[in-house]
Amino acid sequence: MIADKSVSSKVMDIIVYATMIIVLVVTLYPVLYVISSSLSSANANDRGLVTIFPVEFNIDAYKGIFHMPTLTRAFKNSVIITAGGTAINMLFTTTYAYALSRKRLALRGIYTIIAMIPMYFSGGLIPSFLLISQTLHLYNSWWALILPGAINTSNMIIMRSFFVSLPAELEESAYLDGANDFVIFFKIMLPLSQAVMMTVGLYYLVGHWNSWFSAMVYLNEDEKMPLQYMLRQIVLLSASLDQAAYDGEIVTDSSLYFTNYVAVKYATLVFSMAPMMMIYPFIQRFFVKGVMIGSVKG
Amino acid sequence: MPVSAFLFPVMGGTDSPTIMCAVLIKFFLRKVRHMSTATSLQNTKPTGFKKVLHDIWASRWLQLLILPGLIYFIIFKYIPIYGVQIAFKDYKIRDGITGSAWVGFKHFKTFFTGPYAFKLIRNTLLLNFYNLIFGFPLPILFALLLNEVKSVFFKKFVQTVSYLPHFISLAAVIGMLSMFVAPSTGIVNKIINFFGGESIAFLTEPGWFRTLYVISGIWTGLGWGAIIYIAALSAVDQGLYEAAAIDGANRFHLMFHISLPSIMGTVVVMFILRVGSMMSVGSEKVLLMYNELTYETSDVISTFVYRRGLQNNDYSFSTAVEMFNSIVNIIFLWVANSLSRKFTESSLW
Amino acid sequence: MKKTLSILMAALICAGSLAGCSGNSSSTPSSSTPASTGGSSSTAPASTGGDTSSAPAEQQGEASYDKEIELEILRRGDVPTEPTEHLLDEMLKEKFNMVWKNTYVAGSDLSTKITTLYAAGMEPDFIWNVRPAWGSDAWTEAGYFRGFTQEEILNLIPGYEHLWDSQGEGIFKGYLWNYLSWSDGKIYTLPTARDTAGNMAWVYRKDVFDKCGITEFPSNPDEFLQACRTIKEKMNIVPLVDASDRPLFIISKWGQMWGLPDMLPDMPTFVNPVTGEFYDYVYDSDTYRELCKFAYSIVSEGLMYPEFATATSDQAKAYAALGNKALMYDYPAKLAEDNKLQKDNVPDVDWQWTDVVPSINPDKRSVKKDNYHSADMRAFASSATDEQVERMCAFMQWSTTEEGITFHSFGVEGVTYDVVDGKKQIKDQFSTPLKAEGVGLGTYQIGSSGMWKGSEYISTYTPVLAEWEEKILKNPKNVFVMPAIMKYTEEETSRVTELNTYLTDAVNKWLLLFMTGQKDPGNDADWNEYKAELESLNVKELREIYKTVYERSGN
Repeated sequence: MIADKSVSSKVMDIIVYATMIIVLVVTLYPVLYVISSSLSSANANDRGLVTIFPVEFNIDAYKGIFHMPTLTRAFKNSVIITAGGTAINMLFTTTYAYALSRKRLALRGIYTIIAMIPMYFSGGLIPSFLLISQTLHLYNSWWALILPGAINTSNMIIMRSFFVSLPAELEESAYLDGANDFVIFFKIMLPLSQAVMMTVGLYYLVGHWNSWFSAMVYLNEDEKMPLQYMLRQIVLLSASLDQAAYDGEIVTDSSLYFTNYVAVKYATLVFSMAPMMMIYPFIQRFFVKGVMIGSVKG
Repeated sequence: MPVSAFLFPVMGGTDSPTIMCAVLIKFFLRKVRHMSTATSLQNTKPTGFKKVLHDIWASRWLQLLILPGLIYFIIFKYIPIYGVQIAFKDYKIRDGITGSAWVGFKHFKTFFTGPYAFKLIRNTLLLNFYNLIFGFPLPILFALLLNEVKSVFFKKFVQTVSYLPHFISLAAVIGMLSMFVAPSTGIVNKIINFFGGESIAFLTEPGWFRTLYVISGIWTGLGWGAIIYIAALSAVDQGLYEAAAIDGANRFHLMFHISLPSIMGTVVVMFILRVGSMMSVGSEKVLLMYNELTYETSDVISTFVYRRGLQNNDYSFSTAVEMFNSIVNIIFLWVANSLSRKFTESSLW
Repeated sequence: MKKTLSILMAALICAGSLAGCSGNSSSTPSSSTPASTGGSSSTAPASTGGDTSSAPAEQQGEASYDKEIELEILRRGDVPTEPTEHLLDEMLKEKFNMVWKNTYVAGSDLSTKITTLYAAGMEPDFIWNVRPAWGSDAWTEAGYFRGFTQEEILNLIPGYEHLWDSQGEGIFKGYLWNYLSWSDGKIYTLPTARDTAGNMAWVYRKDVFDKCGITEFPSNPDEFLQACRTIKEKMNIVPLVDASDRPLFIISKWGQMWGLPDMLPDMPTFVNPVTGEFYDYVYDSDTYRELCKFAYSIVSEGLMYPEFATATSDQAKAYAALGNKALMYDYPAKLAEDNKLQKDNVPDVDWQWTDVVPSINPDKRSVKKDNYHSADMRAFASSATDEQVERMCAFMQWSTTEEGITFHSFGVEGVTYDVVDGKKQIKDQFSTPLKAEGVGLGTYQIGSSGMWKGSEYISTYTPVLAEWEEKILKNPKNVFVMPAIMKYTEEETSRVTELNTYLTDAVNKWLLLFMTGQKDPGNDADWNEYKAELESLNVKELREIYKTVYERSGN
């Protein structure tokens, strides 16, 4: 960054750091609140005593979650689904976006419309379900969770606009060297697109990690359920334990650890947030300035 | 090579489907021109249908690249699309989608002739409009300022923390919000009282709903929304800054005349996409925040459809309303894109 | 050129749609759909000539079933944990040569699951939890479920006739059959019995009442108001704490004093058991006005949690934990929890329940009684085979016998319970409603597959409920509101939905206006404004529909 000691620079610094501090406080608070509530006793939570720090420190909610025999399996499932799903997403999205970004592409307009219409019109759950289970026989398979969302058009458009912004000289000089579009795409364009790929990749990744609805609709066996689905079940169980004093209906295994509904609710949240916290620094490395080349001078 | 060439992504081109007619006319004119100069030149380039095939062959590797996505769209998006027809039918489970009776525009009529139609549409649009005006620029500003932070560690720390609220469930966020604005025990009112004011019952005053909605959106969406801009900023050539600094620019100049224009392409794309969802307000958040006393400003299309659906799962009605929303959204999108193409150099197509 | 391409694309879409269309139509389940128009009310069961059940009901438990039957079952369940012991699975195999393949989904997901599976023709053979609130009416009309005439079902499960004996005579064949059957005289969902007729009563804090010198629980609305005022004055706490985004739920508890049912939001049409009035639409009646005036007083005098309309239930609990809340209409079974909640702030907290039922008429006190059957009902898919139906019904029949009830409530002797002095006692390692420590009986697969808990279990482990039945159900002064039987035609249903979408909003809005004091129900001008708004939303048409349906449905 430019080393500039003038007054305006110092003013800028003040503005910048003041803003950052405000943002930090405002966004850190809910995170702290969630973490603290998950570590507080049922008593403290019920009485609304938790503000920033845990009150009556208590890890029962976490014990309960770790006690779940299905936890590691669900976690592993989610990792596989997320990794595989994101890979598929990136494969389909980058190819479509890059091709669409080249003006030479014949039928370019039609391909654009084909991608944009589904953003606005969709047949609904039942036709999709029939397609996936009856026609494609993918019921109870992870492919049903991954394939239907292979391309998110908004993400694709973001990528496309980035590809368009890459200088044409790169392509031209590569052609002169005898490369075809495939080679140009994989060997030149993709490596230059790390920032946008990481961003879009993050969007897809988070989407997979947080999803439970598809799992509920398309999966039939507990062995295949992802983490978020399982966490949701825990919260629902805890809510029903909390609420149903006694209505004489379904009584499943009442686990002691799940009686602190508020803590359980927040503990499952922390559980989902933690991997996101750990992933982001990894992605940030690709947001370092100057990744884009200076190889093409104007 | 002018700097602007890669600073401003250029879209457009003559292949835009929306000027299909213009293209057809163009080709017709070309044919006429060719005919009139038939004697002068040999027609070396094929025209019409042959031209299309020629172009496809010329871009064959690109066609191959686009093939996977194309197949995906056709299979997973277009085959099930027949389901939208229930917007024009009276869908009954026992009749299935194809067996249900056609009723034409009945559901659209029901929606529009209800006493609330105008209010719902107005509320939906206004909520999104306020979100656009206040919620859209802030992540950009945040990204620009973050870009100026010198300490790498601090920068990463703020970034990571700021995007975490995005992952907190809506119910938890709104729970916290209602805690803050509670009339008797909430901290906001305590501050107001401290300065001598009277407590405000934020959640039951129609006038405050939009403000709270937008503020809570900014609260959770700031960090997450800034990611794309941070990524775009990292792609800016550092040489530009050096060159400008040598010319005497201070940091404010750099921010507004280099950084901002550099990501303008991204900003425009994100803006157009946002405008393309102006009629869509999700029901989940509003349901958690509203109550009958604030319906005047808080009741939106999706929450009305939800309430109606509680009594009777009327899929047809909700599909019809969805369709109406989509069509309006497409119109907004079209307008935004056209304006953008005219006034800036970037657009979606 | 462009033209040909766009034609191509259109053809592609059409082809895709046709492919999709044909796929859909071939999977519509085919079966006899019940007549949906309610021309005649059905009270007498249709006696069909052909009897579908072949096995007479005598053979239960003793019969040997040669062929193993497998059933796919969809159930509402929470967290799937591996059971420690498979007592249920073993018993099913041993006694009935039956194997269940259970799929568990959360309750709120059940509706989606059923809809999608049926649409694809992949439905389970048996669904453990269906209810009208989740769409079971539409599914029945669609032909998803198998129907049974009264004769058929009593042949398969004769125990049904006596399942409700503890609550009265002839309930199954009478009210319950009328309530559940369709116009073709068949039922499509199979009920189970609630443990007891009711489980809610007025609870109060004895310590507060003692300190304020209130010796008896208030017996009418005026005394109720007075007691609240005294409590607020003397102890400076807020006596009523409740929160809901639907204010009707809050006042419906108080409404019982005027004979308005606790499930007021669900019942706009019924006969008031206290006054004998019939309301075709209760929300502009004078009785409802009295209730609104009461609510107005309660809130305006500060006797109620001020943020009742916007707080979450967690926040309401926190407010109560500070020492507020002195009386409530709640579950007596939860008293221990309430005590625990407030113990830190109020060391001598002492929640108790009373069998006093405040009412405007001391000789006719309206009490909420649940409907006889549990909200969740069971259903067979119409694609289930006769064999599967018979076997499962054999199991259900056994579940209504003494032996079956014992199994479902206590488990297996020596494994999960012992007999001590002639009384069954669940072993110490297990938790019960009386004792929170221990593992749940669910880990041994006991407790969630029966038809009724049985009187021994109820009197031993939920004595409060047994007491409730004694003191409240059997008290001759208490009268009960049962939901009216309403059988709508399709047209009526959609019209009612349409009108109610607007009317319910208006009712709730005005109720909030009354309760927050912005409008005064006691003021004629305000009340008339309210009525005028309802009129402008076509309440007259709604009343007529309700009246017609009510009379037609054989109430």
